[in-house]
Amino acid sequence: MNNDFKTRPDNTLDHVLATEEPLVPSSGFAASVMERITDEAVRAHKPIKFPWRRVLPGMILLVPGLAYMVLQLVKTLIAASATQAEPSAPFIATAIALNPQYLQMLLWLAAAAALTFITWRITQRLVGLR
Amino acid sequence: MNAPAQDKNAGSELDLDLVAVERVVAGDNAAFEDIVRRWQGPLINMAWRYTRDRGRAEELAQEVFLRAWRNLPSWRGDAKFSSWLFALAANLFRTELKRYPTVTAPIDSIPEPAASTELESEFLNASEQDSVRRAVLALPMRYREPMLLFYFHEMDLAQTSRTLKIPEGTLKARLSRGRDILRRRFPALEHTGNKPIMANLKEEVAR
Repeated sequence: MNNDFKTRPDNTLDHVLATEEPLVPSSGFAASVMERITDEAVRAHKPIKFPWRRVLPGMILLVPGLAYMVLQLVKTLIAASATQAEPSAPFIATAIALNPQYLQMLLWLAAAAALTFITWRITQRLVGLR
Repeated sequence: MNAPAQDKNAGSELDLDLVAVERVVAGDNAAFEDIVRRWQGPLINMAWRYTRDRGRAEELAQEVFLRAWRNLPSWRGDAKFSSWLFALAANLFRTELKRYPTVTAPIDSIPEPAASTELESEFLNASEQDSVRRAVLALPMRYREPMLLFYFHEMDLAQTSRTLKIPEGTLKARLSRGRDILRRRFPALEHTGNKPIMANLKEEVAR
């Protein structure tokens, strides 16, 4: 309390508003605050379980797709070696030359990878990991 | 308490806060208890002035501590820890009271002390003082908050304006208006002071 004021209560309104009997915190107040903080700290550090239940069906569906892609790649490789394309040309260029649809597929893959990266960065920022 | 001793105490308090904050930010959450024990009284009393409800005051003070703990890394030490904490508290109390207002009677319905002539030489009794304090809660928010914080901060204009984030000139104008409204409602208050309304404010500014 400002002691200069306390010894100079020349104004009733000032006196009434400034000299209020202070409340004493309940005995368990600090403990209950610390309990909440401890709970929150534990929750904050608990790693989130990986959602296998949700992810698994998608992964199972992905397997035939991956198998199909590998099969197509092998086929393309075989076709490339059979036609004896320029040996110095990179494999992707050869594949695109044989099937122009691969270029579109590659662009989609790049877009998906970029989206994944951006999502991951945003998530990191949101949880404060930077 | 003389001024140098007060400064010394304020300085050591600041150091204690700084040490505790650094420990908490480094991951030692138990160190936050030092902060809670040091500031629980002022925060509960500040919340009490906003609510006049002990249970709610403690709930709000608890919420302030939680928010302070979450946002501790954002306190850079350039302002006093107490200023940062009180500004955080004022924001929270303002928001909470907008959502769930304290039940206050209109200022005109608050009973005025009857024996105003006797009061010219003596201060109001406890229930009359309580009426005046409750009347502050019935003021419009723009006058209410400066009144609550100015007296909570021991009539320190600088600290109040920092907490409210308004210029001191604006604060003085709002305090003056708030006091005028209260004095009109409680004429007994008007005659007891030996100095005009703005005298204390001017002295405070001079200090």
